[in-house]
Amino acid sequence: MEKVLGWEFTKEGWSPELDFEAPAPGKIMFSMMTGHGDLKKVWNAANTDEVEDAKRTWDHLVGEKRYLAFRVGDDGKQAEQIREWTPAVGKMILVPPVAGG
Amino acid sequence: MPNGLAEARQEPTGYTIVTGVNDNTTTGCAWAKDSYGWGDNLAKAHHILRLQTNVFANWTGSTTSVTSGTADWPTGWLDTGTSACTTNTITFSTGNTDAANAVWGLDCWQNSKHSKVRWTPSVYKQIPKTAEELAAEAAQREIRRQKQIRDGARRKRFKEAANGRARGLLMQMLNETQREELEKDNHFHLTVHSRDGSMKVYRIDYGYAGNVKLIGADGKPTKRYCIHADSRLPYEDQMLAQKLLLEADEKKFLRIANMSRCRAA
Repeated sequence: MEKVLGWEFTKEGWSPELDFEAPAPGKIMFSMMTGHGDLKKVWNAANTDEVEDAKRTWDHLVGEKRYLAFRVGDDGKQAEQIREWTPAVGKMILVPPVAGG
Repeated sequence: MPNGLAEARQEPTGYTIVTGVNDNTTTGCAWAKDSYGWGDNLAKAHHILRLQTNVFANWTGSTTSVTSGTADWPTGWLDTGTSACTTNTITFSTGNTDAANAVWGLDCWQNSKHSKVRWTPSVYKQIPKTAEELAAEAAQREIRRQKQIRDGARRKRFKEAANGRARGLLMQMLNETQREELEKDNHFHLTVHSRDGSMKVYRIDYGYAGNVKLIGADGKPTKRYCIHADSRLPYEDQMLAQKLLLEADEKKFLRIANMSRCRAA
């Protein structure tokens, strides 16, 4: 367990080293901002167990921690905010809640 | 503390009491607090007394000078006043060469009740440290200093690594033009197609608060927006969060952000 922005986080399966830029066919890929640089995790979209795990992660971060999820493309393509879990292949950036400064 | 006597006094660290057995003997009110005296290599004795409001006091000891306090101290009464002040502090010294033998005494009265308190402050002298103790202290100081250096270097490496990763992620999410802008000017422009069909240009400057600007037709900022995630995120992550939200949901961005107008040049 380690602290991510003040909350306890199980780092298992997350890594700063995964290549977020490379194409990831058939994968669900999350990049989560942590304050220590982003951590990434990848799931196989064809594996039911892994998709379930990805959904649990989604529920925790987006549902409980109120993170914002954005599906992103490469090379500056317009981002799309995802509000409901869809086990779709793609890359998502998870941003901690934002507030007016 | 009208019903009890002064609070228990604590010897200053590194000092030992040499007199003062008659501390805080009381016959009534208690209002002398946090008071103590000590010897400085037995060359000079100092005493600090704090008096609460509504108190008169008269010095009866062997002091020879007053270093601060009221002008008529110690020859006359000290009136600490009856206003809302809570404490007065008087510092005076005897100039005695042997503080251990100094006679300290203070007669104090509370003016409303005239109940008398005889109070003799403690006199302390510093305990000389042995060579071993001094060496041990120096060693401990050096250990602390080395640890501070190591911790500082570790924090710096950690921060640099975090910033590097955040910059890498931001760069991946920018197009070629934006990457060049960021490298060259420390900001990048973002064109947002609003739901109403209009098109706006924003500039995201390096930073995390008040760093998003709406660019007018003349190319100058007209409005400034302040919106950010947890302030512990590296700036590059904050800038990416701003970019993503602006692109995906400009309306929400504008609803959350605090806006201020930029002054005309």
